[in-house]
Amino acid sequence: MNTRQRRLRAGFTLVETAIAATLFGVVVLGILMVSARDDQRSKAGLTIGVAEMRAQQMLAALQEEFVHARGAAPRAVLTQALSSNDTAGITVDSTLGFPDSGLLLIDRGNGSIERVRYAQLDATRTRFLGLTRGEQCTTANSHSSGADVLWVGLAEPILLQSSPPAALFDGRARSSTGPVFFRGDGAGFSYRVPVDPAGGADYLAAGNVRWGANVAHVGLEAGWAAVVFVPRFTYEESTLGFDLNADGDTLDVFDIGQLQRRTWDTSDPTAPPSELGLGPTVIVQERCNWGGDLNGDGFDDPMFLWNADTRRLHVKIHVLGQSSSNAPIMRAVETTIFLRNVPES
Amino acid sequence: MAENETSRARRVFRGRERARTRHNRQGITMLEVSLALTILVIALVATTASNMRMHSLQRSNRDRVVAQNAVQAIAETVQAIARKGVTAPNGFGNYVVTALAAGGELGPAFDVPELNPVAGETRVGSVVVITDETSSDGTLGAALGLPRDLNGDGDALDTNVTASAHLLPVVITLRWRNQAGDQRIVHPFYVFGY
Repeated sequence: MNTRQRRLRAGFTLVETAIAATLFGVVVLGILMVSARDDQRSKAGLTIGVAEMRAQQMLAALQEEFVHARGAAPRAVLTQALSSNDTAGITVDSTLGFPDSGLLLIDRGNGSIERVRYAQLDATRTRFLGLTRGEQCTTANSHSSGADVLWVGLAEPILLQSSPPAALFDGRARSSTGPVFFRGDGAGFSYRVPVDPAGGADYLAAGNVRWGANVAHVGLEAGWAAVVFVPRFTYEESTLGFDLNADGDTLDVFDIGQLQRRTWDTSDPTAPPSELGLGPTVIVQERCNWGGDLNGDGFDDPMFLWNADTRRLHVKIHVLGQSSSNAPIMRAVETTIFLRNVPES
Repeated sequence: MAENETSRARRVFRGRERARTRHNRQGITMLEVSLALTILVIALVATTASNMRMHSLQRSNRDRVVAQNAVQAIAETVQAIARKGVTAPNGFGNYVVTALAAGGELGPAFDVPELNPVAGETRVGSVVVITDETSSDGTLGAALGLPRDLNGDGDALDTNVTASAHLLPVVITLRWRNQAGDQRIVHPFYVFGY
């Protein structure tokens, strides 16, 4: 057998086989790694994209809802002193515009600040009933008659915008016309829309618009509406080991929730309200600091900032998604809506 | 004769058998392995490039959504300014023009967080209010139906209707830069002084 024949019969040497196998293995491993990474990135992109798309749809729905609405600024004044252990009710000058249940901010701007949850309004429109005291990291305090009561949904610019004292404002937000000092938490918006009790599209009565809300598919002139943030679950930075709001620590706790439209009958507080979820449960708010800075830009981020004077409602929603490294990621969508109708007085 | 043919046939068969055996023992050549690897690498590069392009498009889409929201927000702000201008002591036109001028409530330019201005610009967005009835859509680069009578005097010849305008055209332009290059959105609309 000559050399040529031996070579032909020999096939691969062990070294050649090893080199070929190594090369092949490296390339296949590379393909698998790149594919896995691309797959992860695609899934992350899809997750974030879907969350953003839904948030965008939510913005569009809110715009459609609000553009013909009359915005309200639910605030009241205590007409009777409230002791720290009273859970029966709070008496104020008017509960009009406050949702059928929710959270109140009492005595904001001083050492007696307290958030109080109420379960119901009463028919006289002057009392909040069924109280849970000391909510959202506040403690139950006594409050004197004349104290300010705000619905936590409200965030409104304060009058003094130039170097205001700290007690006057709760935050500083960025709007389309520049930074704005505001008070309140901005976790919702209260309003009324034109209604036709007959279920049609005749919103006028004697030349005036009939304002109210659709409660259980019926246009009620005594109806009222609000979009509210409803927390559903908790995100703890310490548990997940990720600094979600980029503030340099992993100590914060966040409420992840949903925006919900509630409509209720102000003339009959016992009637069940109508509830409608406006999007996915991906909206982020820092626990005990609703409306606080979420993206580390030094500005607070109330979801709804209502300027009744200019009729401008600034809406900013932070949604939670998942990044390519499986870490959570927040994205914000925001817009400003000019409400064409005169606000509630 | 028949035996010869049989022997020849056997020889041919044995020859083919030997060749097949030789071929089977030969295995894959380095050239074949190289070709296979090249094809795999090309496929890998193509897939990666496609994915990178997809992510770039996602980012571009995100930027465009942010830009559209910003345009929407500024347009609504201008509408709100115009509504206040209806009852302003110095008149609708003056109020709107002042609010959209440098130092005004909104100003002539604005930033959009997350968007980067194009080269040579410091701001992403601009707001221009048109007070010249004789302006044309062609010169403005926006479909507004100009020239048009803006102050209700029956002609479209006035070059400055600030003091007498009943309606004013406004053009919001957003220009930003991303991986896909320079991007632009132009949003023309009217505000009404009644």
